[in-house]
Formats: sequence, C-alpha cells, structure tokens
Amino acid sequence: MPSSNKLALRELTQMGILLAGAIALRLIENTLSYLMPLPGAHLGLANCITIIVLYLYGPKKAFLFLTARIILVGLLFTGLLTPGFLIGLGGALFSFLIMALGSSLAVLSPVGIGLLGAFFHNVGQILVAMILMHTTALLSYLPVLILLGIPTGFFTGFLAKLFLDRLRSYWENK
Amino acid sequence: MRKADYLVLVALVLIAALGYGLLALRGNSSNKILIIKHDNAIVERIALKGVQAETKLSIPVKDGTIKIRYDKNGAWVESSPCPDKICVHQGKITKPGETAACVPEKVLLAIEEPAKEAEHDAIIK
Repeated sequence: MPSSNKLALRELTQMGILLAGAIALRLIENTLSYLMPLPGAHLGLANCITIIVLYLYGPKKAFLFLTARIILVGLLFTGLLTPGFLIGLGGALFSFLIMALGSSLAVLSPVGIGLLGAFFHNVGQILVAMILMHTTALLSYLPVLILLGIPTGFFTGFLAKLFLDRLRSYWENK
Repeated sequence: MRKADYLVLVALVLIAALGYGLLALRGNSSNKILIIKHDNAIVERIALKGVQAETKLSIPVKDGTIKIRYDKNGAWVESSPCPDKICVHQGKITKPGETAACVPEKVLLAIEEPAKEAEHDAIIK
C-alpha cells in the first residue's frame, strides 16, 4: 500500500517536528521558571503541543507522542524514575486522560481542553507526591496550583486553538 | 470559545476559591506542633509554644544535609541539596496544615494542632 505508507511517513515526520518543538519549549520553560510566582511552576507550553497533536492525530497517536516526550524530557532534564520525574508523569498521564476524553466529546474548544489539562495536571502531580511522601498534607498546595493553572491553561489552550485555526485555513486555501 | 469552555473556567475559579476558603478557615492557633518527617518517619516533633529563640536543625539526607530553622511562630527550610529548592522557596510555614516538602530528599515539614496529631500511626520521640 504505497499511499498509506506515504501518509504514515508524512505523519511521522510532522509528529517528529512537533516532538522536537515540545522538548525545545520545555527547555525554554525551564530557563524561564524563575519568572513564575511559584517555584517549580511551569507555563505548560509543552502541553500546548500535546493539545495540537490530540486534535490533529487523535488520542491513540497523541498518547504515543506524549510517551515519547515524557521519556525524552526525563532523559534530558529530570532523570528517569526520580521523584520529580514520577510527579511529572502522574500529572501528564492524568491530564492527558481527561484531555483525550474532552476532545472526543467535542463540546469544548482547545481553550477548555487547556484549562482542564492544567487542572488535572496539578491534581495528578499532587496525588503522586502524596503517595511518595505518605501524607495528605500536600493538599494545601493545591489551591495556589489550581489558581495558577487557570491563566496558564487558558494561555496554552488559546495558543493551540490559534495554531489549529491557522493550519486549517492554510490547508483550505492551498 | 464555546459555552462549555466558560463553564469549565467558572468551575475552576470556584474550585480554587473553595480551596482557599478551606485553607483560610483553619486559621492560626497558639498550640502548634512542628512535625519533621524523613523517609516517612517522624524525626522531630516540637511544640512551638515552648520555643524561646530561633533554633537550627540539620537533617542528614541522601545528597547532603537539609538545614531547617524554627521559632515560636513557625519553621522554614534554610537550605537543601535538592535540585529544585521548592522547599526553600516555600518560605516560612506558620499555620496548622501548612507544609514545606522536599520530595527528592523525602523530607517534610508540617505544622499541626495537637488534636490532629492523634491521626498519626507512629510517633518517635
């Protein structure tokens, strides 16, 4: 099947470029994190790419994309299976699950998906941290994380929507 | 943006407000206990009411030493060998329920009230 192979190759290439973009964004975020009001907080720009992939290629391929990103970011920055890695993993998987569900229901725009993604990323992170530290006391971190997640989730979702809208109009005018 | 997006936005604002409300409700207490855990075991348990002057405390951990200070109002992590220093940036914790955690080194500072303390399964003195 030459035509489907060609399609697969094109998708693979596009997702490779987006993956490189997601990792570059993560690197930029790491250097910009001192600007955030809370230490360790991120804008979640890499999540913006996850939303784009989710809408362009669907949940299954987006999950593979996310897995690749998590492993690469782990190898490059946090180290595999360190507490920081596990906390990020919990947040990423929990938020992906909800975003995949949300995008397939098709009542939300990418902005709503970004908001939900940020919220469940925070909840997932705190859940993993609570398991690692054997304490429920870490719940007191949640309100400030949720509050910060509203503008950052809105921003990443809005960027994803902008990108997808432009891409769509480009394809239509081609 | 669609209608459902606004609903999500409003719901998240309400959840954040509720969380802040619950945190504020706990208020301050004069009978505070500082609990310091390492590797999920309590290593120090200090009634802050009886603390006269600012006190230093060092906890040996995997990558070095975590330095903690406390006085009669609360406690804070002065320095830590962990990479992200979230525990140090957390600053002084003063209210019951507040925590400063260093997840990589598995150290937790928490302020509790005597009534809540009974929930612990083990207290090491």
